Amino acid sequence: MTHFADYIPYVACLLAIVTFNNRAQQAGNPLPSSLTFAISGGAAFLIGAWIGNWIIYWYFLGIQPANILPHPDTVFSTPDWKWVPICDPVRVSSLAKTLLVTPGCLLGIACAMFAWNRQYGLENRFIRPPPDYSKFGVVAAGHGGFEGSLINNPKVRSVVTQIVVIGSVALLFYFIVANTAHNLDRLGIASGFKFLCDPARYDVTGGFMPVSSTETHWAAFTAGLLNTFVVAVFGCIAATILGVIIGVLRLSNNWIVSKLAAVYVETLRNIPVLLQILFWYGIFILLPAPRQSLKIFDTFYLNNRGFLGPKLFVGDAPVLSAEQQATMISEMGDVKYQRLVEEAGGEENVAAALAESVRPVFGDGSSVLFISLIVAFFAVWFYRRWARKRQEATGQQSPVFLVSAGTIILFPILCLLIAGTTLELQHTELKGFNFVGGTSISVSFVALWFALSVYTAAFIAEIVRAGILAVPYGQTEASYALGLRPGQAMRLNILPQALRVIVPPLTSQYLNLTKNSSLAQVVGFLEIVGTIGGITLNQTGQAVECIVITMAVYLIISLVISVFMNWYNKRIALVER
Amino acid sequence: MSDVTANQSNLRVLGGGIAPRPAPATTVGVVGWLRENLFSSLLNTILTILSLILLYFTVPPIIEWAFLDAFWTSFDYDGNGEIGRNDCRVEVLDADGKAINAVRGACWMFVAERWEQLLFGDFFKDGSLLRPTLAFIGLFIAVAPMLFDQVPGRNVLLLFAVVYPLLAIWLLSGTGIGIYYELVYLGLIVSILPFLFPHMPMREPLTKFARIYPLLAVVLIAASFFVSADGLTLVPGILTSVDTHLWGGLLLTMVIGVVGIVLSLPIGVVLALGRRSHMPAVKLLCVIFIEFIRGVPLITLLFMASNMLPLFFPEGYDFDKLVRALIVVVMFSAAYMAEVIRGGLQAIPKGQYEAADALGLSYWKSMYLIILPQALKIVIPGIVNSFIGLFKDTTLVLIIGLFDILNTAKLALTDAKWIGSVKEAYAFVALVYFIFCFAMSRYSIWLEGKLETGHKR
Amino acid sequence: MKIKLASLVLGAVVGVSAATAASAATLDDVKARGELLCGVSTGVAGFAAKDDSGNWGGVDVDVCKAVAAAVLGDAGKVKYVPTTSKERFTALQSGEVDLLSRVTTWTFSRDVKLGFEFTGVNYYDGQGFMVKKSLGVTSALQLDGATVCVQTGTTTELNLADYFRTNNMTYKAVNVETADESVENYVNNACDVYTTDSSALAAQRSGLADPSAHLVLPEIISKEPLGPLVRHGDNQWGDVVRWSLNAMVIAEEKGVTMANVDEMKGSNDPEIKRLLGSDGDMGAQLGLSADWAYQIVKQVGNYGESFEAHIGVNTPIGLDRGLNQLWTKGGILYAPPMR
Repeated sequence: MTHFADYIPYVACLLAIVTFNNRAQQAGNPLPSSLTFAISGGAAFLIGAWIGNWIIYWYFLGIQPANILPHPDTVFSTPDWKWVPICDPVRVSSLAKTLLVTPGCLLGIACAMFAWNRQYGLENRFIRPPPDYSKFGVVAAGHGGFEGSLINNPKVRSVVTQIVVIGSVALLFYFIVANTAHNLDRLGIASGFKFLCDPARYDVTGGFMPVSSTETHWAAFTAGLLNTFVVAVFGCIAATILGVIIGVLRLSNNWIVSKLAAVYVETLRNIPVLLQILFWYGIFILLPAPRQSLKIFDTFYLNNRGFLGPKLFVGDAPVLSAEQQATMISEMGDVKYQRLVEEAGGEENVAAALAESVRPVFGDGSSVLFISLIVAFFAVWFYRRWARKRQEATGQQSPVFLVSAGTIILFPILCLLIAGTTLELQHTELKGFNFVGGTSISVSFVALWFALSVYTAAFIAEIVRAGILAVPYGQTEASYALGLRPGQAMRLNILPQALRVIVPPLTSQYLNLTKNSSLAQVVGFLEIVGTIGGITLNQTGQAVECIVITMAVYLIISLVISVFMNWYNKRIALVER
Repeated sequence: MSDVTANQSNLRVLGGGIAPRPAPATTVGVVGWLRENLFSSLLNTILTILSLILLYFTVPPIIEWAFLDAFWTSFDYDGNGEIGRNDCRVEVLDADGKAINAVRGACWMFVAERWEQLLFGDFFKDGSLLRPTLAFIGLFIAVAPMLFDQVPGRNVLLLFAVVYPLLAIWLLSGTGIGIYYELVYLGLIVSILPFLFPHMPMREPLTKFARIYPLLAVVLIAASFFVSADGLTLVPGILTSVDTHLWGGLLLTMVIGVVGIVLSLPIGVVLALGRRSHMPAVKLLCVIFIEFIRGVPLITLLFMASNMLPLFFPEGYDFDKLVRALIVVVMFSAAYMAEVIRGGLQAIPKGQYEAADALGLSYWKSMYLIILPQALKIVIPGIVNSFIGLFKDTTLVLIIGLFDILNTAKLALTDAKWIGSVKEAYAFVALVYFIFCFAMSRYSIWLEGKLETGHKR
Repeated sequence: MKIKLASLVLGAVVGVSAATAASAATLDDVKARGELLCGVSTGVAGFAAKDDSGNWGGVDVDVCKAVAAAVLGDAGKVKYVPTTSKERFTALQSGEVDLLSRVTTWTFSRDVKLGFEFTGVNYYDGQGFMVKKSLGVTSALQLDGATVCVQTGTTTELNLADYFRTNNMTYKAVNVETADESVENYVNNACDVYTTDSSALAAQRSGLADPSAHLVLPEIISKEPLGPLVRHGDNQWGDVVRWSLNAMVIAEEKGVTMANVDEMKGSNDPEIKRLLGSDGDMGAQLGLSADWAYQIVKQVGNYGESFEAHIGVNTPIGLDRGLNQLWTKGGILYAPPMR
């Protein structure tokens, strides 16, 4: 039952301890002796992992663990590591372990750090040194010389308060957990995450990863997750672009433009986003029906089912073995097979048609594209370094943007042409009820994405405006005095400074947009709240698990976005010096 | 313009020198304004023209739809005995030039006919409309002295504001709350009196009472656990009781919004202080709570309220759906409020904390008297923004089947008589939200200016 | 006692009274409370809908009324709790409602896995499709590639998936939460086909601007027995609900109506006598008063009356009795004998 993934938390633990050790050394703090280090670190590591294991085995799998600690020999010698589907029990246990043991280990490390700090006074965020009252001539409580009843001793009071607070929270949790367990038992509601491996029995359509009803709840969940990601990412991009434009326009000295921008901002941010989503959906479904689609150059179509366009295939269709073909045909059933034969124009073309039906966007021979892209990126990176050095040394500027963009776009194309990779456009065409082939985006996605973007853009516009106003006008004047054009002044001087003001609130807008994407269910776009938090919850009745998973996903997304934006914020803050 | 002429005449009187020539016609007057503000450069000219085109294509159709072609008053135009969307049909020409009957402008009759439901839900079924109307009016009277300090009789109104929640609960639900809670509330009112009226008689003993009051309140609340308080209310059953499931429309929106706003502020203060506490356990708990709530969408919390909360309580215990929604909304906005207030706390210079400590003030006193007044003042815009956000978020309760104004409007749309009135319904709801939110944001800007006590450099 | 105080505290803090419910003996709770908590839908015309003055009516609502009449002697003593399809089961499980009468399909997993007890069927339904006539479609088998409006969280989306899969067809679903949104989408051409229980299809078709432009396809792709349900394990309460519904059916069988129930009391038919409480102690066996069924028929009417009043051919919904006709008249409505 041992599995490669089981050891990820242990490795993570070790890495964390080593990193902590190094950082402490860098900070010039007195280090514990290697013996203390080994004992406390090792203990933290083992305790954390051990607790984690027990939690998983007992609570989630209901198994008494036979082998709580891994035998050292097995750590790197697990030979049969391969991609097991998530619903293999082994895989589930590994994933759950990875998710649960890691916090356990981190907790262990935190305890160890705490202990060290008590001993060596390393500064961290758990303990704050007491204020130095002596400079006020006051002999502070708890700092020697304090005489008074115990009740007035701040230290005692602090400890008592904390015990009371922790105690009440623990009681509350006990109350909730005990009640929930009892109620689930009483009502005969199943618990645990096994339902993820049952067939979902519903289809996920209209998103970016179709999942059929024979696949599992887990598959539906992943499709929902992908849809949430797509909405969030594209929403953030569009909202930023639109927000920056509106924000700058609001500062325009053109009266009518600035007033229009102000009206935009004031209107959109004062109306609930839910209403806006419903409104835009109502607008988009007023587009003509598929048969009367609006056409753009006969390639792009707009109708009330979605926006359609051609699909670009890079590389060739796969070559299917006779076995694979036979399986596909047998899965297809007679009706479909007959239709396929008809469309392909005879039995002899069936093989090609089958291959076409499973043709990925990046097919055989598309690796040229990826390799050339990587090469182009490296080349651009070196070129930019060189250009910067040259500018620093000689003051001469290079056309960095043009060259970078040109290389990244043209070089891969050139490589594709030289290698003779197939590039094929698949047009979308009207067949029966709907368009077939090509790329299509469902109208519920478009409405959701559009509504979230324009709503968030109103907030971003205000943030951008505030950021630009925060840069003193003298900076603009100074740029002009240096001979920069308005565009350059904005790009090289004003925006970098404004960004420092803009980024923190921008982060929370991104988070808001991501969270608001959960409103997708009012327009029937199945993202995570629609799949696992919606239909799955309904079909299985396991509300606790489904809601916990949904919340966990949002928490993780929030965490990742905050970490990334904090990193970015730090980076641009450094530019200031 | 007038300034320019005044200057000219002064100059003439004083020096009799050469009068300055008037500014070129292209820089003053309408033309000058246009040149400067709309056509100062090529880019600006293009932008102006684009804006005008945009306005041309959006504003006239909207005005036509909403005003010129709209039906405002309920009248059975088609004479079928009932008022419905068909009464808004007029003869229009379709694409082929054929005359057909269709709805061209807004059918505001829909709003007029459903007015009471949109405002109060089904309240009128059990209670009279007078009650929620009074509650609304009372709300404005209670809020006025808090918003503006020039209101006449402010102290009396403030006292009313303190009593108001009790009154509103009584008016809306028809039942008073348990006697102990009313006593607690009464105590609160009495202990606030000396702060409102510095010259009142018996101020001294009342101040003393106010000092011991918190302890008393705790005792009273604790005591209530041991008393069955069925029917023990100070306000006898004069009014018929109205169940919360009949509340709806704007009334419900306001209840959720106001309760959320009123409760989230103090809880947010406590959470913010907890997050900055020196006690690691307290701090950790506050951080976890705040970050958890802020990390998940409100809708998942509402799902939790409707699907999980019932499982958290012992068998046989269940409480009102509205209460569950309120608990979640308060928790949600308190977490956001805490972060806003924390920003204010961080902005207070450390010297202020140290000065408070140096004066020998206790923690709570130093916070209450020194830190919080300054910190809250700084973050007023942020607090109001949170309020606006909370008010807008009240729409999400439709997802758990509560009938706020948006859901009431949606429900009305399912009536066969009104099918197709989507635009009118959403426009009306959007307008209501816009009015409230815009008013709040304007107020915040006004207040910011008023509280600007010259620290600006 | 404990419960009362806890609810009082929590309720009083926010000024709203808290409801207590759902101990092991629901019947006693309902009697003590003097009010039945009945979970209904948030609005399905003919089954549970609110009229202009805010009163609930419909065949599902009549089940609530019947139970209230049987238990409390007054069909008006019902508090209707509108529930979304997502929260209905939790509402019943947690005791927020005593009884769920909300167009809910009786399925194996709901009966067995979710811990409920279905107490009968008050409407035999099946899932169908509605299309615009202009599409020229006459059979559901021609729907390959269509976009389908479907309500989420119901059995319909599962049946839809099964049906298209079995017939080797593909589709795109537009999943929304409520029926009216689905209709709105369908009317605005956001989907080609609208699928739901055929009763609701008929109801919603009648509400459209031009009903004749729409066609309900002949295929019925699933069995949808809709019925009231209660929590598993409280057999006494289950019996009360089951027999309240049965009493309505038996009353129709025996020709007892709201109008003639008083004179029928003097009937010589032993089953009518047992039904109306003039003979035997059926009421006492259920823990109810002797005239429980009399109250149902008197205040709510028999099954047929309820049907005709809310969804029958003379209503805008205009449903034929069809399967829901009595077994003696060609339907499958069949109540066990009362003896």
